[in-house]
Amino acid sequence: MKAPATTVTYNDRIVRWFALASLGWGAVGLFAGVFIALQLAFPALNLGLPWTSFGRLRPLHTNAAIFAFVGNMVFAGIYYSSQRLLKTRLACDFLAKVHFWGWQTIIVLAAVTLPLGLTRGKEYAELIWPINVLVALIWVVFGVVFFTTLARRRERSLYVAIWFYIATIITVAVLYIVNHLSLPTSLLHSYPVFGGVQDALVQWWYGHNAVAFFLTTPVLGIMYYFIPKAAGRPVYSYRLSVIHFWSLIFLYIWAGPHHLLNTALPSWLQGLGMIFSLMLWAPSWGGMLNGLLTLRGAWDKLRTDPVIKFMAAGVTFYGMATFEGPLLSIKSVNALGHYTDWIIGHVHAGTLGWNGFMAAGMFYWLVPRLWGTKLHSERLANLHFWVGMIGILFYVASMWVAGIGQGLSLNELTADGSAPANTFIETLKNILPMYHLRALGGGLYLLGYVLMLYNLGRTIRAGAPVDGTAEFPAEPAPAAEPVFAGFLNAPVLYTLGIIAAVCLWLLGRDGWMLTGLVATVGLTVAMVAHFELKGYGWKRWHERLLHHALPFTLLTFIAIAIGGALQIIPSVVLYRGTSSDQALEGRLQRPYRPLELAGRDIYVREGCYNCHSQMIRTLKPDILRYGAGQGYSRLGESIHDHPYQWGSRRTGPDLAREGLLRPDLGWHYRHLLNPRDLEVDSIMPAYPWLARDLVNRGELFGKITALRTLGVPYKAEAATPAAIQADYDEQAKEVVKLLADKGVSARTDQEMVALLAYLRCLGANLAPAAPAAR
Amino acid sequence: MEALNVTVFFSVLLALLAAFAFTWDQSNRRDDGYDREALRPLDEDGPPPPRG
Repeated sequence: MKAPATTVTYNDRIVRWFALASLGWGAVGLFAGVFIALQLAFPALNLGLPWTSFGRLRPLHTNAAIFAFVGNMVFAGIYYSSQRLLKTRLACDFLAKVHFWGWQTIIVLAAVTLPLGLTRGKEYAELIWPINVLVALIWVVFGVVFFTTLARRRERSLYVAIWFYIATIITVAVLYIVNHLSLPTSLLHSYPVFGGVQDALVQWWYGHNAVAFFLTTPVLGIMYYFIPKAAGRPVYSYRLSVIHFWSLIFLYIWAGPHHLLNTALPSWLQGLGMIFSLMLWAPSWGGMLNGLLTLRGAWDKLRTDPVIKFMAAGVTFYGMATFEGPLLSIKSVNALGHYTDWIIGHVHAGTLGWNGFMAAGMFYWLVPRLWGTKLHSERLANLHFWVGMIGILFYVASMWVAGIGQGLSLNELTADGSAPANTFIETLKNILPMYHLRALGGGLYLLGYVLMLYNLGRTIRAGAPVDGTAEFPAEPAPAAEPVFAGFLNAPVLYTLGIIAAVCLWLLGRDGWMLTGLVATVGLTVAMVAHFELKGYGWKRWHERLLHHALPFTLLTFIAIAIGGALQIIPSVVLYRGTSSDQALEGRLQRPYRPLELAGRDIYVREGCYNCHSQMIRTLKPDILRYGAGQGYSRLGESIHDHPYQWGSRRTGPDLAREGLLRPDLGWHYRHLLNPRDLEVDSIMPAYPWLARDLVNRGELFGKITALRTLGVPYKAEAATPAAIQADYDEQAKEVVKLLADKGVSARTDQEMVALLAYLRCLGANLAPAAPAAR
Repeated sequence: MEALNVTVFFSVLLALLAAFAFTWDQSNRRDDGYDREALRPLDEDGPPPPRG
């Protein structure tokens, strides 16, 4: 007799919403990208307006691409595949709606605040603190929807895609919260709690792992679900996916410091970042091969099926980008590539090739199923593929040429090795044709994307929304083991024990180190013996763990937490010194005077860090070009910077010692009004509003109070409202007089005066004779 | 020298892990070459995957 069945109707409505949101926001993000690419080729397109200048629109582009386009795509993919893999409907439709509308609200708020110059001044973490709080809350809602669905599953064993989703949810939460810890000074402004090198380290721990755990791990989960479905073939190797998952999430988290190679970051952290980045080659390529080899027996579909075509190309781009990343993490290669367009090309190979093409493949597969119809036109989808592919190639190749070319030119010295051989503007002139090609490549990619929108729009119009259903035996799901049984089982206990022993081995000294080593070896041998003697074998070892979502999630957390904790905690403890007025590497930055602080906040607001670094690397060409006779940047020189402003790209020159290199404020004033009046080949935007708008002095007391709370050593008597006002007036008058000497008429309350005071103090704001830190 | 030691150590470690992964993977193959445990997500709403 046939067992009675129960029919489950999946919540595909929420999947449709997220899919449509991703498609819509993707167009916005790509258009913004093409527009700012054109601004770099034709600076007049900055339009002389604050909210259309490159420094404010570039964060809009990156946030739209990452959080709006890929974010919504990931949510659509996760919700669609999770319900089917767990064989249950989403646990709570209402919370799923809250998740959707909350996320779209965040995106709209970002789209409004970023052009207004409301920013925290850290890449991919620009959004102001009230939005940060909202992001954290909505992420928790997402986690609740996911994990409660997980708890209700009919399928006991968790499929590999689910593992990657768990890692995504846990890790993004950790990264986001730590990197967004801020002290508000008003509803719209805050300072990060970390400063200088600590802020740099935390930022790139977050920034690199935003790539890893927002742009990579969820999309890998999507790959593990959608490629087998599209190809009609099982995943090439289940066991490779086990190794892929654990090694990837463990290693990735350590790699952040490779964004700070050859800088003032302590060398032990740079070494760790480089080594772990190199080790990432293995799991990344393991995952890529697992994805591509899943297509074996179905390669013929590459000729005709646009879904397979996009996904195979997407996974290939993943392989290329994850080959290039470790390559760029080698210190000597990084000395050439860092701060150049090579990095821009690298990240766009990842976002356009891996994320964009995987999204396209998923949507071409998903949309017809979600609307119960066939794809409107496969030929149009194939055309999209080739137009997009050519666009990526133009983009990436032009950035390679521009980046490597400019890197070589900037590093070239005169015959006697005493000075740079080329001026910065000469190197910029040489790569401008590449900027035109980049805009062309981005434009082609956008054109392909528009073709997809049209194709999918016609598909949707031809169909009607359909929610997937599935029948399962009506008998109750097998009773789950008690929670404690989930924790107190051999696989979990052995794993935790070995992790603890390894920590003891690596971190302990003398007897403890030896104990850790012996315990590591002993526990490993005991684990193998235990499972082999009991007839389990390796397969059962991990399979049993997969039946227990809670311990699995806990182990995932431990795997991703180790790297961050071992890098960040020592740096917070060691490199601040016991007192904030002690020198580091023989130097100590003095706190900014009120006018300089106002100018610095304007510098951050205008997004100057998008194009200018403030970090003279430990490389001879950097020292000769930017050092002003003071050598490379030391830890102590930016230790009180909240946020740090080391930058990640030099579209313009480094400004760490601008106050020493170019003390002429009249030049700066005219340059900021219109850079091309002084440097005809400059591509910097003009900032005429800085001469028009006035500084809000009323905020300075709150800002200085906040910085004092964060440990910046302002003297109490200098931090009163009256003292702040007096100091502000005194310095502003000084700057106005210096400008008058150069024939420039200015007022003490102009934003321009504050910004000039900030630029003037860069490199010249060291505290005299500071005692050395331990 | 230290950097060389670390590089060699991790290279050897990676090579060993890769060898282990390959062996572990191959021991799990069916006669038709497919992985024994890799049926999902194909088994959720259809027949077993096609054979080689």
